[in-house]
Amino acid sequence: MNERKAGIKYRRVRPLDGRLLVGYSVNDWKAVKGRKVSIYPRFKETELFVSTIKAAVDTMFPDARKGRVDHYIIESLQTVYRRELSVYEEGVRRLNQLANSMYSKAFHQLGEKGRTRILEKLEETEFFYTLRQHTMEGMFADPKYGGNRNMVGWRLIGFPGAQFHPITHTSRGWKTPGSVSLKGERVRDGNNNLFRR
Amino acid sequence: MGTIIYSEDSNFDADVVIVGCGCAGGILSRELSDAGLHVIALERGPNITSEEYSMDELKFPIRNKVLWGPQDEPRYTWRPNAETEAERVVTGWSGWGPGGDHLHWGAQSWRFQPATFKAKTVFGQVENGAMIDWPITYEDLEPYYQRFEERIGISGDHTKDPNHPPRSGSYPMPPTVPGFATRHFVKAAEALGYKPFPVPGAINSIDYDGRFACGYCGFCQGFGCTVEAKGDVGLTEIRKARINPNFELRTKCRVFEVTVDDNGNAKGVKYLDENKQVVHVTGKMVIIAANYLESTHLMLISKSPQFPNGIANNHGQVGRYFHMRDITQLIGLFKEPMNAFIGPTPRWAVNHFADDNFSPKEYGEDFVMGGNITGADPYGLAGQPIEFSEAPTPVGVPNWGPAYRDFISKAFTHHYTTRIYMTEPPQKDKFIDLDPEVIDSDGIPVPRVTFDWHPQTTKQHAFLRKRAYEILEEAGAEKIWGGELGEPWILNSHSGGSTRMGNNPDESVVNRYCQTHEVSNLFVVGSSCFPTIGAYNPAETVGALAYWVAEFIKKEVGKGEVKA
Ligand SMILES: Cc1cc2nc3c(=O)[nH]c(=O)nc-3n(C[C@H](O)[C@H](O)[C@H](O)COP(=O)(O)OP(=O)(O)OC[C@H]3O[C@@H](n4cnc5c(N)ncnc54)[C@H](O)[C@@H]3O)c2cc1C
Ligand code: SF4
Repeated sequence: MNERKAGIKYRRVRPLDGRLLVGYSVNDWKAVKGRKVSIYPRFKETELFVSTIKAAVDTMFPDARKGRVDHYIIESLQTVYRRELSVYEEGVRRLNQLANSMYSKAFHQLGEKGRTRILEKLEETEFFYTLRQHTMEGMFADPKYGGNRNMVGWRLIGFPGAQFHPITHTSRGWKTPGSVSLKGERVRDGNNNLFRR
Repeated sequence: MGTIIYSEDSNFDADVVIVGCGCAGGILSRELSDAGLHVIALERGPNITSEEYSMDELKFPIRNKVLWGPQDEPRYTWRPNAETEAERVVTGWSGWGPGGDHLHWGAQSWRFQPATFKAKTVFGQVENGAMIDWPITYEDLEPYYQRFEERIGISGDHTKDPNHPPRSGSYPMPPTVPGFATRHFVKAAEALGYKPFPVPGAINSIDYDGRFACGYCGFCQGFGCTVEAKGDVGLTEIRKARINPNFELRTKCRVFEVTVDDNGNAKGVKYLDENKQVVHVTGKMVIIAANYLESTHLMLISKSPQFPNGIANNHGQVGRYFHMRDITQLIGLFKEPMNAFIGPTPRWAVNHFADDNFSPKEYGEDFVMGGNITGADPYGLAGQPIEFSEAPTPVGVPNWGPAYRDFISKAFTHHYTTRIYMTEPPQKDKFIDLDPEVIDSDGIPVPRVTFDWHPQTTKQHAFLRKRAYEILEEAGAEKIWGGELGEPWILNSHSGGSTRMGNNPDESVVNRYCQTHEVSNLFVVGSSCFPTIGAYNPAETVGALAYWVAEFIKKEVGKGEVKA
């Protein structure tokens, strides 16, 4: 399989007044339609797959692992994102191949610099695009989906979560004192300086 | 013009069969069933209730569950001009369920300005242009705009709008309270001499029609409102139509053909039900209200010996003059928190450069029509975090890694945007037909869109972007970026032309009552009937048009042509 260039052939966009659209070239569309999607049995992730994904999400967005973004992705690949499994399998293979040829190590054994250099090489691929999208989802979606643990993503950016806002929240300088999940769990920010803002 | 002739068959299932039960179809369902007609509405989506709504960004606008059709189905193909093969296959069905795209709309509820209805007279013809005057005027539609505003529940203050056309009454509710970011934007706009005013919104600022007032949650455009404070046809018109025993709503029914009798009158429609069984339902008249692209598509695939190129298309007009206008947003980053994600989607507007409110010539420009500017909108549909992560970053800031983490941890709360709503002249050689190759999973060929921006668009865009830029500059933004012109293959819902209204069957598909020129008992209602799109969002005009058509049909029925 050749590296699918995002930005040229494969594009995912959200017009400001519309739903998410994915645009394919005509040939890519035929390939996507032909992709086999196995429903059973459950995909059995290997140890290498898991540790590569862990290292990759942390390279994409530092602290992603703290938010259990890897967990979110692997869980989703078993269910809603089954279609994207082959993109991940190919991506994981490429990451390790590059790690091997450049540093003679597995991707997850590398330091941040090495991992970043490798990910940069894949920046234009469908794998990169998909991984980035899913990393952000795992970081910022409601915790009930398995990522954003303790609402780390929301606290990092100052998002109060699922709540109504009294008029006082529209005042100048308002900062959320914490976040609320859909299940009603609350985290207060307090002086937890792990999360700068 | 006007008289509706019915098929001679005598055993009809219904008086009126409506395809698509969204903004237009929902309104027609209520109006016609209230008037005692037996109405069957066919909707491809499932029955959705507001109990299913939640403040869940991943589920609603990101994964597009619940409120949207299947996201892996091809919706259309695209090419820039007729000399090129299709370049893109685009997947992702639009909104469905009773309510359609209206269920998750941004509730920015505008009337078009009088000039839009007289586009050719006011703005003249552009090169390669297909501008015409509408066969109806603002004055014709005014009472129906008012009805839409009262039925759906619009809050606003027209006295603050320096260019508001004459109207018969006020908005039924005062505007919602602007958040800090919006007040910040308003101050900057006023300093530049503009007169910003609240965007009219289908947002309950107070309890209205048995629904609650807005709670400023911000999970607004792209979502259904958990407290039903955001008005739409699903919560109002369709809910009320369903009380009528003479109204039947069939969900999970995908219509794929409008059938005709030997005389070329519409006889009914064929659809695939939930189990993919073909069902034929007949009616004295048929109304297509399936959203601009799907309505045009349904006409093109409804082929018969009488209409070999699609129903009511013997003049070759169905699909022609398709056009869409772009919307883009310029991002400003500020020193202090703005929290633009709080509050309902409609913000405030500067309409100084919209439509005919100004003269481009005075600025040394040679484009026609203008655009509208709003602020302070968050980036994206509703400014929730996952969508914000899709925003472009300023020059020099990567969109991943530690530097991106630092960027987003400040920018999410410290930004707001100005949105630019452009206008686009319809062109002679842009159109929708059927793709010769790509089919969907039901084996139906998808529509092929041949479209590219008019050459004037880059000029208008540069001009409006500059104006929007100045406002952010005046507001003291530390950094300003984004707001580029979108790509022509990315269709949004601000599109029209493809079944346009007109007096002349040689250059339009429907007459002033959205009745097709060729088949008197077939109507098409939606933005595809607009000969031009104004600077404002389209849904209220879609709705007003539906009330206007309903009034016409009721009058015809009153003449004794149809027995209820
Ligand atoms: C995210 C988003 C935000 C928006 N925000 C705004 C806004 O702020 N202001 C504004 O003015 N406009 C807005 N719009 C646009 C507005 O929603 C549309 O203009 C309006 O809903 C169009 O009405 P309609 O009746 O033509 O189509 P819809 O409301 O979409 O209804 C069409 C219905 O037909 C059904 N259908 C289609 N094909 C078939 C078939 N073959 N068989 C059976 N049923 C079928 C669909 O499922 C759908 O329910 C927004 C749109 C989107 C997507
Ligand atoms: S902001 Fe208001 S109208 Fe919009 S979804 Fe929240 S409560 Fe409903």
